[in-house]
Amino acid sequence: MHGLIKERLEEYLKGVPGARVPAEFQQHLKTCRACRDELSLIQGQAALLQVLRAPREVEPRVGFYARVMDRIEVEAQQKASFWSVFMEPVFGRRLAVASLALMLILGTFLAFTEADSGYVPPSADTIIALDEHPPGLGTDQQKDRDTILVTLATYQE
Amino acid sequence: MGSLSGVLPLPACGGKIASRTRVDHRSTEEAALVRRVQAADQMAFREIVERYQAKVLSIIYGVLRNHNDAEDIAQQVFAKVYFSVRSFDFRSSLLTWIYKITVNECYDYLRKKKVRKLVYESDFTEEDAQRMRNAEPARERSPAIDVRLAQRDLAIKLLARLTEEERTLLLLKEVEGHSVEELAHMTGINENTIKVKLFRARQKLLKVARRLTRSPGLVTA
Repeated sequence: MHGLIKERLEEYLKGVPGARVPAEFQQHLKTCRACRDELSLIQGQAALLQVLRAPREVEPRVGFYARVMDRIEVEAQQKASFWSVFMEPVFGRRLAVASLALMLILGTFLAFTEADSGYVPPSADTIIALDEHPPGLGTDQQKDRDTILVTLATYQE
Repeated sequence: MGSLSGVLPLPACGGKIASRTRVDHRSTEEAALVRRVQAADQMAFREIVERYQAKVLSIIYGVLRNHNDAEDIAQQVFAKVYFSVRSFDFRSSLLTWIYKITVNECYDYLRKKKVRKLVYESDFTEEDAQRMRNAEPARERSPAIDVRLAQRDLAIKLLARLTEEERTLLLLKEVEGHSVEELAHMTGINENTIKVKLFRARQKLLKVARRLTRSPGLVTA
């Protein structure tokens, strides 16, 4: 769709063609088939949307406000009931104790895992050095471990 | 088909609306009412409900054509207004904000109830329903009713593909009959931006309509 039509489209669709739409608008439509076709589709679409217009004003039944307030109260209770579980003193205390216990277990587990994983893999130099001059086992625990690992890694039948 | 101008009055500034300028929705009488609700004044909330209940119900009834569901959704709309009024930022008018909530609630409801079946079954005016009760099913049903139902179904489906903002703008323009100037005033968005947004929404609808009408069983306008 061309700029001129696009610019004035809403005024045109408002239903008063010619009132605010300049003469060039109509002139362009006469000569541009693409704009004419698209405009026609948009007009059909605008008409279609009007089926959603209420045929008349709808008044609520008596007591509408009271029913709204009832609903608000129910929803407020539902919202409150979810969080209030955490606010109850007994449940809150149990939740705190359980959380502390869980943290303690996790902390202990992590501490032991860290202590076990103090192993640092030997560097390439160490491996070469060990290969050339194998140390006697039983002098240094770390060196013993490296020697065993190198032996296992380079083992060939 | 009657106009909703009585249901959705034009913004209260009257006369010519200052276009292309941002409207300050903070200093209106409506804003004072909102502030009172934000300060937990129940009477102010009651005033809002009483002021907009007919408008909200009419919007919902326009989409669903079912009184019981309309009232239920209207209650939900006001409950939502009550709980989220603290987040109302005065960028748009209160009516526009409520309008948006209302349309969103309608679409939530339709989504939950699996649109198609619900629309077809509940989408009659009382006269249509009476006529259909007296008629033999399907065989003697007025083709005009079927076309109207299909058109409503299509309109609802098309609008479902738009963003919340596009849908609200298009409904305010086409269903409520507001002009671009009025929309700019109501939403606090520049007129040119409104035009661009409306144009994009219309283009999107055309694309979706082409896709939908290629499927069998759908009626075009």
